[in-house]
This record gives sequence, C-alpha cells and structure tokens, in this order.
Amino acid sequence: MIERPTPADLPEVPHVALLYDELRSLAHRYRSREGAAATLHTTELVHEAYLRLGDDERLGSRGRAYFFGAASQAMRRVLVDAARRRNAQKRGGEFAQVTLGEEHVAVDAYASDLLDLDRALSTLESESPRLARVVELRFFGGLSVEETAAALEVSPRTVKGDWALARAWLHDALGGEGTPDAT
Amino acid sequence: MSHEAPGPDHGLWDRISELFQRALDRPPGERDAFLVEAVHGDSALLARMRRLVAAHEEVEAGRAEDPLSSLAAGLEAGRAAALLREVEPREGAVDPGKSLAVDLSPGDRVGRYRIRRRLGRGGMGTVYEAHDPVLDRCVALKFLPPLLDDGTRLLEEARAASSLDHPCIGTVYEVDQDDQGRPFIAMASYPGGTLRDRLRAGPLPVAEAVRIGVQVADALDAAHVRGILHRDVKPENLVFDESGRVKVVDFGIARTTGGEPDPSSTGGTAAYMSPEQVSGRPLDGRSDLWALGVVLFEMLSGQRPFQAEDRRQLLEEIQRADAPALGTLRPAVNPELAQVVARTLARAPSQRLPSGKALATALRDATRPAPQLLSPFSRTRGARVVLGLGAIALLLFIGGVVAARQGPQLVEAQGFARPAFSPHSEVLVTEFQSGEELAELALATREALVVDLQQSGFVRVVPRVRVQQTLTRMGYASDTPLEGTLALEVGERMGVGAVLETTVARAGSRYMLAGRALEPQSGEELFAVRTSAGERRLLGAVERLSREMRLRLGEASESLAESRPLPEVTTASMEALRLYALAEQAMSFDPVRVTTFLEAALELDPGFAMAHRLAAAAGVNQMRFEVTNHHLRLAWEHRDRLPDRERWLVEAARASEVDYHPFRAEELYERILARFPDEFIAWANLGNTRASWLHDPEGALVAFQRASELDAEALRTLPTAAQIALILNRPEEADDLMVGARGAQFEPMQARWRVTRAFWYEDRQELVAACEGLLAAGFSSPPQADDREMCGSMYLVEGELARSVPILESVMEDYVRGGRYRNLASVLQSLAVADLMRGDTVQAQGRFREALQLAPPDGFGEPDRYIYRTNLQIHAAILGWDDLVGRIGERYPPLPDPDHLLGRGGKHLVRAASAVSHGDAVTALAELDAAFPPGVMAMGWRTFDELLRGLAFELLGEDELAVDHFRRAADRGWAGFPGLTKDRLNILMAREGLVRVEGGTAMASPRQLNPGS
Repeated sequence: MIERPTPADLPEVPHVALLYDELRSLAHRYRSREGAAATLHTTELVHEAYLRLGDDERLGSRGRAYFFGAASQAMRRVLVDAARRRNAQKRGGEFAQVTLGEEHVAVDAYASDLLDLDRALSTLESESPRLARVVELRFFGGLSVEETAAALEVSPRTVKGDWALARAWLHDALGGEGTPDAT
Repeated sequence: MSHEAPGPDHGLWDRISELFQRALDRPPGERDAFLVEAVHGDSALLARMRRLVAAHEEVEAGRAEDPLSSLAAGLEAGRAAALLREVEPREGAVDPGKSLAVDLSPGDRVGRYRIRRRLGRGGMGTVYEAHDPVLDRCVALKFLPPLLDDGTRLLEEARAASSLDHPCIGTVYEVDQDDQGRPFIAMASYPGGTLRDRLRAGPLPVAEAVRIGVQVADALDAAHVRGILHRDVKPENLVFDESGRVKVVDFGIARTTGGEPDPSSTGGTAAYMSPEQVSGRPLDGRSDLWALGVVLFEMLSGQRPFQAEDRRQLLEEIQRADAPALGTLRPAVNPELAQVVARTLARAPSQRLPSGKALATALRDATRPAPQLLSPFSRTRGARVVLGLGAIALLLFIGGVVAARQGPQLVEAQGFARPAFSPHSEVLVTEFQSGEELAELALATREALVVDLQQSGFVRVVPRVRVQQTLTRMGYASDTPLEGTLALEVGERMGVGAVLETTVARAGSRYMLAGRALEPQSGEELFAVRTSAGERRLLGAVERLSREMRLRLGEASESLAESRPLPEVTTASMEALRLYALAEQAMSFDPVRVTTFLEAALELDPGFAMAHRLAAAAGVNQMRFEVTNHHLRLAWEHRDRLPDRERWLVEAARASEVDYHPFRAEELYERILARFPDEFIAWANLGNTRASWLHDPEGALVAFQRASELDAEALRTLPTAAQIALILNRPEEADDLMVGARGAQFEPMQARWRVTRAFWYEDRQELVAACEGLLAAGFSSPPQADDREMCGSMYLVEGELARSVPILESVMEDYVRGGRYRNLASVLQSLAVADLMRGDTVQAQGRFREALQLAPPDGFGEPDRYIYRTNLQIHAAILGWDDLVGRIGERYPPLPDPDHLLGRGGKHLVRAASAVSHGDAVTALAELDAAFPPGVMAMGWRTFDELLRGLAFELLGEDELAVDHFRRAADRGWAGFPGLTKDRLNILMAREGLVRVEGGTAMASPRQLNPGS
C-alpha cells in the first residue's frame, strides 16, 4: 500500500468515487458540447475536474498532489470501464455494429490493449503497489515526474527509476511469452 | 531505497528496483556481469533481472514499442477520446445489465437447470430460482452484468469464492456460462429471506444481532485468511437458512464490477462502503469488517450510521463523519458492545479490529458476563494460608509456562559502528511483513525462523520481552509492530548486530520469502536473501532463508550443519505450525482457543513435540493438570523432535515437577541459562527449585529478581521475590523490589503487598487498614473473592475471628457460584480452624469432612495433588482424626511410584503427625528422620517437619529444644508466610494442653526471632 495522506489528514480532497462520477459527466459534456470531432485528452479531463472540484487555497500543494493521484485512479477506471463496454459490444450485445470503419477498428484495438494493460497493471499492483501507482499517475493522469513524486511523496529520482522499471516490466509482461514469473 | 512502501513484496521489489537501477547506471555491456555478481547466486532473481533489463534496453533502443508509449500514442490520436465519448454520465446511467439483459421465463433451460421464477433483479444482476433435475434440488441462479467484465476474471473470482467451505458462507455449486456466454453462478437457495427483510421490521434484539454479527465475522475471517474479500457486505447479501443460521452470499462478486460495489446503485450499497473503498485505496479484510460494522449498527439501532440526501453526500459522510453513539440510539446496547461496533467503524483501518476472528471474539466478550480472572497471585492464595504448601511451585510453573518464548541474550556491544556482524551478537527479528491475508502464515513463518535462529550458537535472537521494554522506554506501546525505521531505532538502542527484516508474500501458488539484514545504526543493508516455495515446502524455504542469513552473518558452515532440519524439530505440517503460532499468540488471553488450536495441530501431527509442550503449559493455565501431565509426558516421548532449548526446558520441568530431583533440576536450569541467559522460564523455575526444595533463599532471590527483570510487567515472580526478601529479613529490599512492579497490575499488587507486609510484621492495625483498602478497591473479580479470602484468612491467623468468619462465609457463596470447589474447600478448612479456635471440635471436623468432599481429586497435577493429600492428612493426623487420614488416602491416590522421594517423605510426615497426636514422640522423631535426605525437602514441608519436631520435644519435656524448633518453624514458614506456622499453632492452642504456646515465641515477629540476621 502506498503511504499517502489519509482522508483524515486532508478532509477537503474529493474521493475517487466522486472523481469517477465527475470525470464521466465531464467526458459526456465534452461530447455534447463539441460533437464527435472533438479530441479529448485524458490529461485535460483530469485538469478540468480539478478546476471544478479542487481549490488551490484550500488544498495546498500536498492536497493538490493527492487530488491528482485520486483523479488518475478515477481516470483509469473511467477508461477501462469504457473499454470494457466497447469490448462487450464488440462481442455482440444488443447493439449491432453498424459500421466498421477504420477508426472503429483502431478504437477496438485500443480498447483491447487498454484492458490488457489494466490487467497487467493489476498484477503489478499486487506485487509492487508503488510501481503500479507511478504508472497510473503518469499514464492515466498525465502527471509529470515532479508531480508524480509530489503525489507519492517520494523523490523524483525514485519516480524515474520506478517508471523505467515499471515500463520494462509491463513490456515484458505484455510482449514476452507469458508474464514474468515471480518464482 | 526508501522504505515507505511496505507492500506485499516490499523487500523483494526494493531489491529488484535497486538492482535494476544499479544495472542501468552501468554501460549496457557491463550490466550482465554486474547482475551475475550482485544476485549472489540466486539464479531465479538473475533470470528475472535479465528479462527486465533486456526489456528496458529493447524499449530504449526503439527496437520495440512499449505498451505505454503505444497507448499514449493512442491517447494522442484521439482513440481514448473516442472511447470516452461513449461514456455516459453517472446520473441517469442505463442499467449496466441492460445491454446484455438476461430475460428468462419459467420453463427456460440454462445448462441443466430449469428456470422456475425470477427472484430479483438489481445492479448486481438477475437472480432466478431454478431446479436442478439431476440432483433434484432447488438452486438460485445468478447472472451478472457481463459488460462490466470480460468474463474471465468473474469466473476466476467466483471460483475462488466457491472454494470457501464454511457453515456461514453460502454454498456455490458451480460457476459456468450459458450458451450465449453469459456467466452465471449456481448456488444453494436459502429459504429464510435476507437480513434486509428482517430489518424492515426495525432493529433486532441485541442478542440476535450479536449472534448474526459473530457468524458473519467468522465467515469473513475464513474467507480473508484465504485472501478472498467480499467487498460488498450488506443486509441483502446476508441470508438465512431454514434453521436461522446466517449465510454470507456473493463473495467477491463485487470485484467483477471494477473494484466497486454496484456502481449503478442509487445508494443502497454505497452506505456500506468503507472509507478506503470510497477513495479507491487498496482494500483488505478490514474493509469488509467496516461494512459488517455498518450492518451491526443497523441491526442494533434500526438505522444506518451514515445517511445523506444523495450518493455524493453519503460518500462524503462516510469519509468525514463519525458514526453516532450507538448507546444513545439503543440504550439496551451495553458500552462494551457499543465500543466494539465503534471500533469496526474507525475510519483508519489500522484502528479497527485486525480480523474477523478478533471481531467475533470481541462481540462475544462484550455480551457475556466478565470472565473470572484469576491472577496467579490470588489464585493460590486460599491454599497458601491454610495449607501453605505447593503455592509457590504452582505459581511458578504457571508463570513459567505462560511466559512468552524467549531467546538468548546478546553480548552487549557498545555504541560504535560495527562494519560487520560479530559472532554471538544479537539479532532483532522484525515481524514478517505480509498482507493481511497472509498474517497468520507470517506468524507461523516467523515462529519457524526464530526456532531455527535459536538453534544457532552464533546469532542470538533478542527476546521479545526486551524489545517490549525498549519500546516502552522509547514511549511506544509495547506491542507496536517492529517495522521499517522503528525496527532500526530499537535495534540501535539495544545494540544489536543486525536487524533482520523479513517478508512473506504470495505470488500465484507460491510463497516468496525474503529477508535482509540491516546494520541498525546506518540502516545500511548488509545483505538480502530470498527464496520461494509452494505451500507444502514453505517450512523448508524458511529453513533455507534462515541458514542463508546465518551463513552471511558469518556463521561457519560446520556450525550450520549441527542445526537440525526445521521440519524435524518443529513439524512437517505448515498447517500445524500455523495453528501452533496462533495458539502461542492466544496464550496470554484466550486459553480455550489455545487448546482448540493445539488439538487441531496435534491431530495433524501427533508427534509435534513443541505443541505438546505448549499444551502442557496451557493445561496449567487452565488448572487442568491432567492435561499438563499428559502432554508433558508426550513432549518427553517425542523429545527428539524438540530444539535444544525446548528439550532442556521439558527435561528440567520433568526433573522438578515429575521426578522431584531438585539438584538435577537446578543443574538443568543452569545449563539452559548458560546458553539462553534471558530465559524467563528457566530463571523463574530455578528460583522455585532453590526456594522450595533446596532451601537456598539467597539463590532463589537472585533467580526471582532476574526473572522479574525479564518479565514485561514483572507480575509473575516479583511478589515471590519480595516475600523471600522479607524472609531474609530485608524489608527495604522487599519494598524496593515491589516498586519495580509495572503495568496494569501495579495498583492491585501494591495493595496486596501492603496486606502481606502488615501481616508479616503482625501489625494488626495496619493489617485492618490494608485489608479495608484492598477490599474497597475491588481489584479482583467477581466481587473480590480472592482478596476477601486472603484478608479473611489473615484475620483468622491473627485471631481476629469476628472479622474473619463473616468474610470467609461470604466468600464461600462466590466460590459456589463460580464453581471453584477447590477454593471452596480451602475456605471450609479455614472455617474449621476458626471452629477449633472457638473450641467447637465437632463442627470443625464436620467442615473438614465437607471440605474433603468438595476438592475434586482430579483437579490437580500429580505432584500438587499428592502435596494436597499429604497436607490434609497431616492436619487430620495432628488433630487425632485417624479415620479421616484413611478417607483422605482413599480419595486422593498416592503417587504411583512407592519409592518416590516426595511420596516416601510425605508418608513419613503423616506418620510422624499421627504419632505426635498419640503422644508417641520417639516414633514421631524416627519417622521425621526417615522422611527426607539432608538438604532436600518438599515445598513447605520443612515447616511441618520443624513443627512436628517441636511438638515431639514438647512431649518429651525438652522445652528448650522444642522452642528452637518452633522458632525455626516460624522462620522456615517463608514458603507460605509465617501464617502457616501460626495457623498450626492456633489449632494447637485450641487443642488446649497439647502444647503450650502461650509464652508466645512462635507468635513473635520474625524480626524478634532473628534479631541478628
């Protein structure tokens, strides 16, 4: 388990479940506002959520770091849930696949990759929670090395090392034959 | 590396991370050579590191696209956005089950099941009642919303949960998919409805709520120890079978929805989510216990502890608000129970009860009358004043075996940096780090590790008690877990040579054990080792880990070779060892569980000698001496399977408690102490042997003092040590010793000490004040029976009949209620003495006979029973009640071995007493001479010996000699207070004319008797 400020320390930080809701409605609103052509970056979403729910003055830098930590986790779940939904549809639910344009195929592939990553990350999480958190923060939350270090309350050097190691581990896990064995 | 992340694989991953970093710091060409060197021959680690480094190089060189980069590119290309565009906001979200809605009608087939009707439908899926024609039974089929998962994980999880076999966990028959690939779970159908149904009628009776709570806590515990979390404990998931037993259903299913219970729910489930669940932090069993706490709260009060208008507010409440006080909502809930529930609802998991088992125990304890707690001090008191014998032996055997297992002492090393571990230095073994679900296993592995380290003469494991003392001095609670920097600080303060930090974690079906040695001052890692094994070979892995660490600390391999294989000196069954470790943990607070655990362990491995030894100790704690004798015998029978330390302890216990070879016992204890100088049991029993048998009060005092220093709360031997100081006529020393008492028992001990002291100095006024103070304080429970008996008996010896008799009579009622017949018998004997002092011989004899009927003949250990028998017989013989002497002999059988030292000596003493009462002084003296060899005598029998000699010489008209012996009787009475002698003398005074003690030599204080010493 990662040592992080507990909710009791930081009573003002919204919790992950709330952020999850928030990110979902934000994503939805983007779509309604800008139509299907809009590109949407996860990082933007997270920052948007912060603008809406966070408050620099109240949270301070430590609270801010924690906020982004929680938001990254929520982002991961939003994306993964979306990918699952996508996959389930592909396998044939009520919603027939009407078009199969190139973009759809690409998105499908992306969703599968994302789910693979999520699974591998869960495995990594059970072995080294810190490494998994680094990936979550950097990848899903779009945090910089420094921001990640602040959120985890470790040094940037540790984050860099962890990032490289996690990346190598994931590469090995997803690309190699089978997962790295712990034995 | 930093230590702030004590994850399940903390040690291993720190190691991997460190090696990875150091490898990358080198040019690519040198990395492999570095790794080969750095893993110290650990080929599995080497293989792993090579893969990681190769993967890194591949990515860096652009030979391969790493998944994160490609996914990140996907983010840029808007694919994530495409995905997210499909995301619906939470509010008004479609039922996730809808898109692949299961809609079956009666008569439809699913697999071999035929649908009867739909039972319910919710966010977690749809449940049907169905019939299984093959087994002709009714089942419940649960379909889960498949789009929340790709199915695989659901099946895995549900299958894991289906392996749970517990009376309070719903039975899962099978997990399968229907022909459309929709996963479903077939489970037993329970007709008793859900807890939710019952709650609709309002709160439950307290006892019923607790019963349900205990069953659920037990069920959760059974799941948690196998690493399975429920994640969605709520009244809807607690159903009742036809007999009203609760069944927890839907284990682990919540996980399949993405780690969150029931996302589509409008708040029903959210109300049971733990704060860590709400904030998405990693969960362990304590999260389920929180949910159970909410359920308990609801069962007891009829309302939920956290309520809000909408989900968002509710989640905030859970994170921020405290649950209302249960006692004010439902006054029938007692404060203890309210406290237990409040603890399960502590926001920080660390503040909650650690396990379902602990919660079940706490719930049971909170709702039953306070158990009768007997401190070793009070437990023996009744026998001490009237009979006086055996008390110390019993006390110490109890004390000794209760003591936590301890290890050897260090050669103290003073505060300069030690570059390497020096031989015979101490090591501090931290708790095995593990996840919650491996906590019990970690306990067992630590146990095994310590046993193996103790086999080494090279390293010495710091005894737990000294760690506790150090923690207390540093201002921590004595049971603070030794982790991270705290372990280093403690190690540094104690001057240990190394801190051994260990972890156990599960990786698939294997267990990873890792250990590293840290230099306590710098925190520098001396080395790290690790190994892994399947569950069956885990003990072998612990042994490898231990031996590797010993080797790297510098132990010679020849010395290592002398250590016996760990499974051979413990048990080959990991499960038995786990049960043993649990038993040992429960030793100080839950004797019944100790027995249960050990019985289970011994069933798995009947020759598990360490478990026999612990069972013998547990028998003493429960006053079940037949159990003690049985297991002591079996431990001895299987002594080949004991590590040295344990074997010597059993051998010494036999010498002192079974064979009565005091010199041999002393020698054995001294031998143990040469190797394990911090062994509390050995010091305490050495003191016992010296005091009770060898008449070496000085030596005994030294041993008791040492034992007291090694006793975390100095409870068990300190009062005895202080009494011996009194006997040696060193009252200041006695008082100083008592000041050293610590901990929760400090006040009661001081109050009792004041009584003892006043009694010893025959200061009646002070005695009355001390007794009144003690009784008013009401320390022992129930209503101070033991303390009242002590005061009543002391008043009696002081001749204060008017104070004594009413107290003693009132104590009888308590003992009857508590079923404490042995204590009851001793009170009756005291009252018989009071009758004699009043001259009512008939009533005295009646009470004496009654007492004889009451003390159960099997309520003793072998030596203790024989001593009791002999004491009774001596009493009866002195009083001339010859028929009673015979009756006692019938009720309490003699020792099986007729030549036994104790048996032979006791027989002669009884004969001498009988001879005295018949006026045959010459026979009496001859019997006494034949009783014991010089320098050895059982327990407090020395006092009887002196007393009987005094009586014999009195009969012979040798007054001067008689007085000498009476004085010595008073002086020797130290084994059970001078009251013993005075007690006897008061009986004799009542038998007017038998002996003249009015002159009062025996009534004088020890100070007057020993003016010079």
